[in-house]
Amino acid sequence: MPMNSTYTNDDLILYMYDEMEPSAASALGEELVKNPLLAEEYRKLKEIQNKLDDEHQEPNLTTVNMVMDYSASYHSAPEHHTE
Amino acid sequence: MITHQITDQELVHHYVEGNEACLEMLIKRHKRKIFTTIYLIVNDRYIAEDLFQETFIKVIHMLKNEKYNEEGKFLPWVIRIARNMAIDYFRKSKRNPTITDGDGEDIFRYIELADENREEQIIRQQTEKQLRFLINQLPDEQKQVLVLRHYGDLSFKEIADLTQVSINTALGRMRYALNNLRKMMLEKEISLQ
Repeated sequence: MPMNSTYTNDDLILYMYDEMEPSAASALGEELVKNPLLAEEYRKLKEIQNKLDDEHQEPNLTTVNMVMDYSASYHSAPEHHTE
Repeated sequence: MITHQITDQELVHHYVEGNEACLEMLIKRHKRKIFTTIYLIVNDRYIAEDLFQETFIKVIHMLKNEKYNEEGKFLPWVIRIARNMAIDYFRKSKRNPTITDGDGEDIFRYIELADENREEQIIRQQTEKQLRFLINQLPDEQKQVLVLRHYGDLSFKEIADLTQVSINTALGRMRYALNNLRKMMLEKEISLQ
C-alpha cells in the first residue's frame, strides 16, 4: 500500500479500469502528480495491465461463419433449436 | 463533423427486426473479448471455438425469441453466457480447467498471421503463450476476476454479482492476481515492456 496516502491499491485498480466516479478520479489523478510513491504503485499496476493486452485471441473464420449460417437459417427451422 | 457509431442496442434492435448483417457487426465488434475470455477459462483453442459457437447459438435463440431485455449491456450479457457455458463444460466433462493444456495452433490461425513475418510471429506467439501460462498459474478465483475484468470487460460490480461475492472481495482478488502475475514475471525474467 502506498505510504503517506489515503489511497489504496484497490483505489488505483478502480482508477486504472475507469470505474471511479469522475470527481474521485480527478482527485486521485491530482494526487498521482504530487505523490511519487503512489505514482510508482500505479506505474507497477499499469505495467501489468499493459502486458495483459499482449494476449488477445480471435475465433477462426469458420466458427464465425457457422454462427452466421445458424442465424440465417434460424427462422426456417425453429423447431430444431434448443435453448 | 459529428460521427455516430451505431450502438450495440441499435444493432440488436435491427438484428431482431431481421437484419442479419447487424449480428455480424456485433460479432466483429466483440469477438476478441468474448473469445479470449472463453479461451483463458478453458485453456484449449478447439474447445473455445466450440463454446464460442454454443454461446452465440444461445444468444441468437434468445434474441430471436425476444428474451433479451438488458438494454445497452450486450457485451456483459454475452460474457456471462460464455462464462456459464465454460463452467458447464467443466461440470459435464469433470475436467479441471487449470490442468488442461491443449494449446493447438490450427491452420486458420496461420492463415490469419500470414502477413506477419516469421520472426515477429514466433515472438508474438511465445509472448502470448508465456502470458497464458502465467494466467493459468493463478488460483481459480483470481484468474476468474482477472479474465472477466480485463478481457471480458465486466465491471467489478458485475463480477461481484456474477460470482456472488462483495465488490471488495472481487477487487481484492484482482489486486492479488495483478501482484502475483508481476511476481511470476519478475521471477521468470519475463519482460514487462
